Amino acid sequence: MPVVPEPSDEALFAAYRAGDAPAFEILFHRYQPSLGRHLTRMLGDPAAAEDLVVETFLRLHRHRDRWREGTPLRPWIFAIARNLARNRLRTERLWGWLPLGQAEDLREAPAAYDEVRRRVAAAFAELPAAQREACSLRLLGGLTLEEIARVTGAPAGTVKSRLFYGLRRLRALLADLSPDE
Amino acid sequence: MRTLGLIRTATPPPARDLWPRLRARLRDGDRVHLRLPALGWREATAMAVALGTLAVVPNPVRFLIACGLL
Repeated sequence: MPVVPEPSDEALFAAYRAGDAPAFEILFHRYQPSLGRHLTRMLGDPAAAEDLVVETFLRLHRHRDRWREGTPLRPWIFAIARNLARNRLRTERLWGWLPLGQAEDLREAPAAYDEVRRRVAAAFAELPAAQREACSLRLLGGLTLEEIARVTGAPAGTVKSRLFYGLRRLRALLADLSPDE
Repeated sequence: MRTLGLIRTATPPPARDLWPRLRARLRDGDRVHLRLPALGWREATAMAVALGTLAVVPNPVRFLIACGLL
């Protein structure tokens, strides 16, 4: 029996624009894990990451007419998520300055993380922001070097260097957790 | 490569299906829901004074100009 290849992201989005509503659901489920992981790592807050996964696809829907057929969809989706995450972090920093007393912290308590999760989060937090973003896009978002360059607007050579130094630092920081490496 | 695998497993994807949330937002469309604050006694008094002034004053526009409000 011949294996039918899965439709590409671009084919699904084109179908959605043409009126095939279920295609958008397939596309969303395809991206929810990787986008959720990446945003969780960037924001350090799983609940906020969930909000932004939904918001990213809402923006994708609203701006669907701006997409030109033939252009790759994945960098666009991650670029939307990037802008939303940056806005959110900016707002959080602003709120942090306001004397609102003890704000309710809805984030997952660090104690709830197991040791490995805590260590991985701490290792990412040690990286410079640009390296952290590049590593997260590569490892958790599954983007290629060229796609990361498109999302971040940085030259491919710069992305390569960020990934090299970022991954080397992560390996060093987490070396004792994977001694066989 | 073990470290990279470790990083992936230590960063779980969203635990629940977020599609129902997105679907609800899509159904809502681009409608903007205005939520007006509850009308308190201060707001009610201000509105009564404003409407009363407009009703009592014979030429409201000239009155507002004279008050420096227009």
